[in-house]
Amino acid sequence: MNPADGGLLTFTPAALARPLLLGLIVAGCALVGRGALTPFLARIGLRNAPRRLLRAVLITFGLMLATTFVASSLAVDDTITQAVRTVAVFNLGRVDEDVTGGTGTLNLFPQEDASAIAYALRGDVEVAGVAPTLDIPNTLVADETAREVRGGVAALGMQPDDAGALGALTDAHAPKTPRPLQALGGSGVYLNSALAAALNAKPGDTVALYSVDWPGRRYRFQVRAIVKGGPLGDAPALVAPLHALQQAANAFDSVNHVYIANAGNGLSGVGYSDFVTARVGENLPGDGLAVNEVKRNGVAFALQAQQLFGRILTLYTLFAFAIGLLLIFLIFTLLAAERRSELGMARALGMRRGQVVWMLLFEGAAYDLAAATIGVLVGLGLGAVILGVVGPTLARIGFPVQFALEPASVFVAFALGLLFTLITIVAAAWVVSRISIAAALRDLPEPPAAAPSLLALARAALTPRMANGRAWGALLWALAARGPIPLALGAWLLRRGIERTDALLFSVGLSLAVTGLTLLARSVALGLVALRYRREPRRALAALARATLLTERLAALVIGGSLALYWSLPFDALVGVLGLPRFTGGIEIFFTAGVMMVFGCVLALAPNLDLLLAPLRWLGVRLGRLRHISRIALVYPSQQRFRTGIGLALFSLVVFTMVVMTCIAASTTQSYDDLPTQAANYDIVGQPLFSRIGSAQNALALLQRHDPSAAAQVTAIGEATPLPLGVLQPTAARAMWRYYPASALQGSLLSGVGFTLAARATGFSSDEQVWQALRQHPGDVVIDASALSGADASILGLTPAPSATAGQFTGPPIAAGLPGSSGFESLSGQQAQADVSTQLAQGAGALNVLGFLLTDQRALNDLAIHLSGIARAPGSIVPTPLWVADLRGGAPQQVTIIGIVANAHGQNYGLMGSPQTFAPVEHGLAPLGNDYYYFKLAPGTDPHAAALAIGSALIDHGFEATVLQDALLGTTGARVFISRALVGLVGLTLLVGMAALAVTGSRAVVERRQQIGMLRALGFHRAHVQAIFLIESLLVGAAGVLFGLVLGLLLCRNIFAVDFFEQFQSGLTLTIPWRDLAVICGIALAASLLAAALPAWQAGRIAPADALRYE
Amino acid sequence: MSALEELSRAEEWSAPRQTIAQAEGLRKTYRAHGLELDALRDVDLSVARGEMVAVMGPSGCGKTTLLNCLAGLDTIDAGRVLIDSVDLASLSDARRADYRAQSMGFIFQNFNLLPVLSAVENVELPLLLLRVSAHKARRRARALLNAVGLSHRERHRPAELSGGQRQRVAIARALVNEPAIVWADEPTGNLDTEAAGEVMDLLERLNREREQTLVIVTHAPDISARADRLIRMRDGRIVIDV
Repeated sequence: MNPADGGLLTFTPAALARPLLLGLIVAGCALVGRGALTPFLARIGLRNAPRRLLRAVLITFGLMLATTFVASSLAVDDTITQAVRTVAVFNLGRVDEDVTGGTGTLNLFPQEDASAIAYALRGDVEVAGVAPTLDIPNTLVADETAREVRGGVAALGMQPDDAGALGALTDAHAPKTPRPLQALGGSGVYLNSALAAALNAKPGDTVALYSVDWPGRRYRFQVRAIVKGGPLGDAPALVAPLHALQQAANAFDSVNHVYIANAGNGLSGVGYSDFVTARVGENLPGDGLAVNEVKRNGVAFALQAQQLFGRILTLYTLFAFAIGLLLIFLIFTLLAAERRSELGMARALGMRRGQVVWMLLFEGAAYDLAAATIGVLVGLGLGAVILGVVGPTLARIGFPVQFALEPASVFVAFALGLLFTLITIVAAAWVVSRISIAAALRDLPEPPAAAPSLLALARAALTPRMANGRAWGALLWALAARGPIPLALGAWLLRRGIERTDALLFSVGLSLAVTGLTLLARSVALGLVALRYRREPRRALAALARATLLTERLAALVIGGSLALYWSLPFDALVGVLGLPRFTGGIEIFFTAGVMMVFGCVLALAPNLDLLLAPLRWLGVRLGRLRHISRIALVYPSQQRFRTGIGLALFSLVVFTMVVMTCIAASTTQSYDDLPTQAANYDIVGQPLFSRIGSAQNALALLQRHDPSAAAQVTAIGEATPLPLGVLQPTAARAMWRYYPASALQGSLLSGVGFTLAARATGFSSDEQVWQALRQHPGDVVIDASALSGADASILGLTPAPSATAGQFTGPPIAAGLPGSSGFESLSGQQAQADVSTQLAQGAGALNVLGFLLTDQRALNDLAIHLSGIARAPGSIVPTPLWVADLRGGAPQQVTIIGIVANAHGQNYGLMGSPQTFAPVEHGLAPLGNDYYYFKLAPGTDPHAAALAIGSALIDHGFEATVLQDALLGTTGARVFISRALVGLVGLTLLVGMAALAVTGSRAVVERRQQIGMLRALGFHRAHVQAIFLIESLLVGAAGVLFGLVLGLLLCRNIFAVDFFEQFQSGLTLTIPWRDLAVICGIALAASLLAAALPAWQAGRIAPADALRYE
Repeated sequence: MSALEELSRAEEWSAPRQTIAQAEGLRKTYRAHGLELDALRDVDLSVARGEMVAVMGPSGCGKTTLLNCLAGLDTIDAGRVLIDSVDLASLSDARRADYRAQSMGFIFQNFNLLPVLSAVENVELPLLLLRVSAHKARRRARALLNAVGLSHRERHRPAELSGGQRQRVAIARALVNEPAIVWADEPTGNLDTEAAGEVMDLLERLNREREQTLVIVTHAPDISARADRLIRMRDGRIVIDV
């Protein structure tokens, strides 16, 4: 299935607010109008609401849940949207538009052109500031006082006059203290907080600036202050006097940016972007200059990352809403069942069915209003709690989580809860008002409905008479219930689905067609039975009754079973079958699949519960003294099939939702939030930016010499040198040169510290032997699991890892391509990456791919190697030869793969071996890029202090040390937050799901108070009564847990099997947290027991006579 | 055409005035799981206006089923029921409900009062269903409660009344719309002897003074003794009609 964006369910609260308001007005007017016309109906309804306090509380609580789910989801969503927007603003500072397009490596243009733009915008109220700027990217800054270095720093040269909001810098520690550009003088600089933290810099420090734009020279400045505001975002940056940077870069009277800040604040200014861009466009002085809406684009780009969360949240909300609505339906069904004789009397007195519905609706509206109001407040509270719990942990990376809520969201949560509850109540009331008055008056079971032939129904419908509408309704119902209508509708939807390659239409059509066919077959079978006995009316009745019962069971089994089976298949299962196309679908298909699977299972089993429970009954009668308990406990669920079915569906859906959300949350956590694993349990990564250190041993020796205490905190040092290698598997079916990340390892990395082997070659009995071979036998290598073909990964039982990114192809094996950890381009300038690519390509001959690879992820995936025929069995591979060659030329060399490094979550990439292994292919070639050093610290060591200490100790090599988890969080901060918010939502689902089960369990007991009295009167002990309810509840609970668990896992498999989340470049892989799932199932079972235990205990305490008199 | 107009027109077709309820060839069979039980077998019956008819018989003989079928509370398998010359089976469910509200009154063993309404509110309910103004309905309900001796309890809810009082409220409710016929199913079944006597006195008085047609299903011989006519049923058939 191809994921489709912009599906049925991509809406915003603001877009929903208007139709919901209209709906509320219509519903309100209808209720008030009807109440005014028939005040007695409103009176009865409204007086029924507070009739029993406990019941009213339970019902209100149950109805509240749907609103609570929606409100908390929207609160979390609003906060995340706001946070993500703010991050975009934070990253870009006050810059809304940027004029660029000059010439040369720095893209320079005359400063007078920039001044002309500033002059043209001078009077515009939409513009808050204009700053002609010389931006030198990727400078290297050394704090000579603190003895720290940092690469990849943006140095902004600005002139003091007339920058407006862009010159409004303030002290980072005293926001009310302005730090004007004039105060820089000729030799001062301001640092932003990120750079100051990385350099451990303080005002007064001396910093030296290095750049490829002034090779061989350095310029010293004094730090005047640590500042924020103006054009500064959260990336390491400094502000220097314009003329000083112009002089350093030999760019006199030139700049390369004109930054423009719009009126308003950093976020609201985006609203003026169109106008300002047009104004600037009218006043662009030179050819080649262009204006970019950087803030707007940045916000849009940042929000794309949030789409993943939006889809997951939509799925969650839909399931939660379905649970809420099912619960409401169940509550009202139970409520109406309790009042059946009252409804019968009202009907006997002359109340129409519609009036009964209104009466119930008035009562429901009273509950609904209270529930929606409380639900919104509780939901917002829970949303705040979730964010409060997860927010502070992200504060350290500057992810600004502040509870934010759009008024439209509050209204939408309230209105959605209110309206959908009302609609569900109408549906429930309509269903329960369909009673046989005579039976209801005496509280007898509903008699079976008559089933006239279609011919008779058609004749009645075509006969002009007073009740003609009813006859048409009966005919249509019969056509639906006996198959023709669902079959025709299904066939139409199937055709539409295939024409539009719409997975949802096709699947619903197929489901309806199967349902229609089955019902039709059932009708035909019953017709044949009737035909067979047409001359024996007495026997015909009994035979038809038996056939009806049998076909009912079979039809439910076939329809339910087919639905459950089809919707549990992977969504691509039917592609190619009978020439079917590849379908597209959005998140709604997964929601529908979930609901249909649960519905199918319940439909298949509920009518056959008596058969399914037969073994338990058989066991029960052998329980001796307790057989009366088991008999009663087992008979009620199979007799009350409708209610048992709804209860079972509700329970299954709750567990199902929890399982799905837990798996998705575990997957996001594992992929984004398991920082120690992603860092391979190393704490600090560093690289020498001035001169090579040579080896991990050298680094340790230097550290011990300059800072023995810092060295004592280091428990392991590993070193990795990325190599640009082409690889070829000679034993592959169509062997050709491919590409794959590769690194030469030293120190602890070559001992396997931080790596886990997923498989070893035959002949190696332990992982240690593999690493020993790597150290001692040049030519032996290991490779990570992403290099395996799908078939080989499957043999080894490995989850496919996300594909390597460009950063990983040119970086070290652990945490490659992270911002904050400078790449080789930090010294060679922005253009250098392309230059290196060209250089590589020129030397690589047939492997002229790298330049392209660095920019095209799809090409990267296609050209990466996929090893085949390497896996033997889980944990075991055959030693596999591989040819490797440097892309720049040199002699190819054969190496042997002897181990597979686990890479389930994309944390460790590459072909890895010792320097001796790769020495022949690198012979005569200059080193490419930097060496990377990984430090593992003793437990309890502060990594930030240690990073500064290490950087300071190795300052002679320009050693840039970065805390790995900070760098990882910097890359995936938004997704870490999403992951944690999802975990919070799972907690909420658990909490609210349990509450839903508690409400259901309690209502089931309360409703049967009279039955309890009767049992007690018959001689059942209090404990017996309690045991009956506990057994019943346990039965439904166990079945619900089983369905929910199995179906939830199936849906998760299907979601990940079609790579649904990959459209958001999520890199998510499915993780099944078995331990969490076991806990959830246990809690769900316990909740079902507890929910029944409390009211059963209460009911057991009531005197039998009181219970029997209960009204 | 409104329900009332429809009903008025139906009355124009009416059979002889003295017959208020008429059943011809009435059959009712309960079917479940292949078993069938003939609750009513070809029952023919007519009730004259102002008559007080007692229906007796052993449990399961079809008394209540007969009453439910005559009152349009249950469906029939064969035959027809005319109430005031209106064929109930020809009416839609909604029209049948309107007809019950307008022309019938019901008294049941379990009183079947709505617990959330006070005595007077219970009594006025059928009038409100007929869209009688609230003021008129309340006045009429009070008058009825006064007639059954419960004017001092009109604001009490059913839970605050004794069994006899509840049944008297039910009687007032059954009469409030001046029905053509009142159906009573074991009206004294849940009452003690004294309360039962009071209720029967009341019903008898209504029948005598207002010529209220009453069909009473009962097990009690003393009730049947007060009736103008006694119908005995056995196995779904009328075996005695005197």
